[in-house]
Amino acid sequence: MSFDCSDYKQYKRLHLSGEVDLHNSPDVRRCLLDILNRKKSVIVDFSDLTYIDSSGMATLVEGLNIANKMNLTLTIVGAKDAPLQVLQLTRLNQVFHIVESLEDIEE
Amino acid sequence: MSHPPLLCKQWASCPSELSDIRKNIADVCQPLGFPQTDIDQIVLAIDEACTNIMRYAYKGCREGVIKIDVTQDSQQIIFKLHDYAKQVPKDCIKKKPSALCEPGGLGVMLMRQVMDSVEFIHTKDCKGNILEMRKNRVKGNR
Repeated sequence: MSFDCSDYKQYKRLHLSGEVDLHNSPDVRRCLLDILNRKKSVIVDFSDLTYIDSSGMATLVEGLNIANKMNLTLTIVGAKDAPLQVLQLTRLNQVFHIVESLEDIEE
Repeated sequence: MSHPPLLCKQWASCPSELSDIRKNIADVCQPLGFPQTDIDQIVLAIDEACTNIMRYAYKGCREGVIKIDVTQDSQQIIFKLHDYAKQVPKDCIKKKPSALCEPGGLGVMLMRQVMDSVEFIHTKDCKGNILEMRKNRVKGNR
């Protein structure tokens, strides 16, 4: 798993690649919380993510709750295949704002 | 008719092992004729079970052992996950809270959704915990 953080419009984009599980979700959590602590809305880019389990999803749920309290947003972009299944199985697709591509992100 | 075991292997209770566990489970399921969506979900359920063993049975200790046996009969694929930690009371298994955005319980929710049965087995002569999960074979599979 690797991830990188970059600017996209007024957001921070957290781009996840590979597999997120209990082994590396603490690293994702640190990065996500760091972005939110800097009062930036975040786009979590799933387009190169091949796998995520509940530890990764729990990290994103924690991030979403913090974002909501701070009047920020957390948007998931590009979810497909196994990660999309996890969002659907957990019904968290009803909780997160999910868009297909970065072009769908509003200014 | 009894079938030979499809997998009998053990791993350390270390999160860095999860990737190899997932690969082994996918390799076992691939020749059984499951659609890729089902294989992805089975792999997810096993990963969630192992994650729970690491977090709650071994409480983060990386020196424990997780043994996974996979067998089959004519109806089902049977996954048995054995740990050697202190027995976990069955009623301690966390259920997902009613609000989706509350933390905790996601792993058990996923296991129950994906598998056709999920059962925690305690035996007097067996140290630790056994989690048995069954997945019905798809009609026409080998």
